Amino acid sequence: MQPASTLEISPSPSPSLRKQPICQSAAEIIGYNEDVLTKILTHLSAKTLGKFRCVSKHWNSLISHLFPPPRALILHTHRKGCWAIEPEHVFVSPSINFNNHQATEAPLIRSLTFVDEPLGADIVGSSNGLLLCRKPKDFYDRFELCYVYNPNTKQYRSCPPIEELSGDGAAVTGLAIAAASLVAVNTTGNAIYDPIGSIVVDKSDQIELPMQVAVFLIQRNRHALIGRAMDEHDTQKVLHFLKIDPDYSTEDSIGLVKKPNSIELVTNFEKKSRCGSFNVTGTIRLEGASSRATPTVRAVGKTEPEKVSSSRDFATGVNKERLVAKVNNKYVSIALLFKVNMDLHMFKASVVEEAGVLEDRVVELQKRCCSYQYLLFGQAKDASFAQIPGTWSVTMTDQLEP
Amino acid sequence: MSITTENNEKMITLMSSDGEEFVVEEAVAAQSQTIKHLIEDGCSTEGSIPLPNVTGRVLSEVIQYCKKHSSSDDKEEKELEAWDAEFVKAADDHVALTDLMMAANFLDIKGLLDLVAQTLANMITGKSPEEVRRMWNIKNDFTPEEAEKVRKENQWAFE
Repeated sequence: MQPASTLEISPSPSPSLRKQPICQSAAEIIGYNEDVLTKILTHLSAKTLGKFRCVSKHWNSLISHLFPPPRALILHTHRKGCWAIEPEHVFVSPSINFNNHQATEAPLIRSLTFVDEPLGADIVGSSNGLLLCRKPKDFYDRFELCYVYNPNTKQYRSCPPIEELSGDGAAVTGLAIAAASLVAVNTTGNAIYDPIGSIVVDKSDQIELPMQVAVFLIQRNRHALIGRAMDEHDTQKVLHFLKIDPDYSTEDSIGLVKKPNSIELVTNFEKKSRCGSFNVTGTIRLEGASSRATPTVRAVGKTEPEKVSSSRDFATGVNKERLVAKVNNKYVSIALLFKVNMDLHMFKASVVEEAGVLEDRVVELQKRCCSYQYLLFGQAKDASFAQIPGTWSVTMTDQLEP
Repeated sequence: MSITTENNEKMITLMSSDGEEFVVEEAVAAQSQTIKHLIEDGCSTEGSIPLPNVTGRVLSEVIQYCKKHSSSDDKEEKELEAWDAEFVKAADDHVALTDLMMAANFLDIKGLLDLVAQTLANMITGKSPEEVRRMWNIKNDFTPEEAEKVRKENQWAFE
């Protein structure tokens, strides 16, 4: 794009801004050069980027395009508590090596202190860039309040404590709702219209509950990730949420997501004798939605959570034939599976690669990992699975357990 | 100004947009992917490689960087970092850095590109949109209403 020939500063040009016209050609070109700008902008925090959306229309669209709102956070735990790498840091550099960060010393990692509560709040889950936080238990050993917190905008909203859903079916519910929501986000790309990133926190009361549940359920996946039968009651709850959720099937000012005509939840269970592990497939089909909104989501059950980090179990947890068939049937990727899992257990790339026998499956999996990475980092869209250092060694422990 | 070395390295001549010639070792010049490809394509065999987008002043800085980084494989990483910091500090203002950035982009020198991009990013982080516009002479093409809207949407970033 060519630089504008005049130096008009609107809407209200102040005289001081006109005092120093810059004649250097590079300085004039750079503000319009997408290639170079992108390289500079990648080094900026999400907050600074938000500010610079105001620079010009070009910058606004460039930033929207290059840096969609973060859709997920990496949680990092250590023995004393739970920490979040906030999106503003996620954007700092594509080469953050999480591997080297000890939670206690890394400047990247801070505790959440947004809640007016001397003990702070625990992060109990994350989904699509939101955190579900919970105040510590009160005197009567009850959880008092939960918060859905958007660290990007620093907005939060309190909500009743969510302990009602039973854990076993919760994972599937979480996947379903997160999937539905994800579709909605994909059509926007602007945090302001991001139905997850913002609306939940600051807009409609109506859609708060499902997302709240989704956030919660993603967390529940850590120990309840499918793997077990979903009882009828929970299944009904899932379906109910999906059907009444007005948002994932609504219009917004940027994108259009059509409401699916029908929702079908399919689950298959297969118990493997070895190690007592489970292999469970749950599929949620949203029929009749628009092309961008046909998220048939495969929720592939894992082995027992504590064994999930082993690539062997991980790989064998996926039935390749079934996977391909689903793909041919236009079933959408299992990125959400990874999303869920990676919030909880990070798989090491090297370990996955070592599963030589399963190589063809691994390729399938890697592709989906990439798409997850994109969601995670925003700017990592062309990075390959192995090129994001440290990502795969971010480990989640189960110390989030209350 | 020309730069020579005592080694037996193959030498490459680079010519800046203002006609200044620089003689550098191939290994130094080849840190620029652009130049590397030109060399591979045989452009260096007939006289100097013209670099129409880079002035002599900027090119000499770039070469300084490339020399340092080609000769310091075995050096302490810390020392190199310190040198980098000094290097961008010497560039001093955003105009010089911007020149360097454009040159690094054109010449495709990844390390330099990252270094300068980071420096410029640091430089603009604390600035207001107005200051950034002034710095790079960017036209604010928002109407007052649009500007207000975008500002409102991103209010959180200003707090």
